[in-house]
Amino acid sequence: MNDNDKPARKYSSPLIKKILSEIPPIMELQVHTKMTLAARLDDIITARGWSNGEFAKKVNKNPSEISKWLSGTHNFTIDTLAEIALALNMSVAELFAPEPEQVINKVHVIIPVKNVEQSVRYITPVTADGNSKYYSHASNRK
Amino acid sequence: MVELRQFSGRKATIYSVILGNDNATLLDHFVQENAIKFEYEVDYIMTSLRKMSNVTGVREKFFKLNEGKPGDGKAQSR
Repeated sequence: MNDNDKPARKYSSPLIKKILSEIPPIMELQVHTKMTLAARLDDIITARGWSNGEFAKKVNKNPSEISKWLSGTHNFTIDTLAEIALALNMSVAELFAPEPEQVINKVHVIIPVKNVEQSVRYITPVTADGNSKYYSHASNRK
Repeated sequence: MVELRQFSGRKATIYSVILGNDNATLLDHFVQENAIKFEYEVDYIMTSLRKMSNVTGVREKFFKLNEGKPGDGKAQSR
């Protein structure tokens, strides 16, 4: 194995660990709110196929202002959030709604099975319609 | 290169570098040099890195890619 292929060694920094343990809860919440809002905005803009410049035109701002908004450090005012919500045709509250996790509800898996005993029964889950149905089969493989 | 345990989460893994026989990473040195004089900023950076690793992922827009160079604050359109 080439040295470059080896995974990096895990390292725990006592200094950083100490600093993180002393972060005030208010800073934790402020950073969390700013960064998740910026990420949500970025995701919405990307999902609509807009560039920062195109979004800037919709909210009547300079592109540099959009860069600040998406940096995760911007302290938005209520007025600005209202302008953004209007441009996106959303409510202000929806800007803070978490993006739903993508759930894979249909997976096609083939598992080769050899020499199953006749007496063995096996089940096949059917999840395409979202229900937990199971079909039971008697093995007829030899 | 080492994987930083404090910044390894479900969204991203952040790495730093240990030079030669040093015991600390370059990030440790940065923190050590600035933690007292710029306490708020260092705390903010550490909190941000932790959020990136656990919540938002690492996004290019969270960084100034050309920090210190002319036009580093200028918006880049796609």
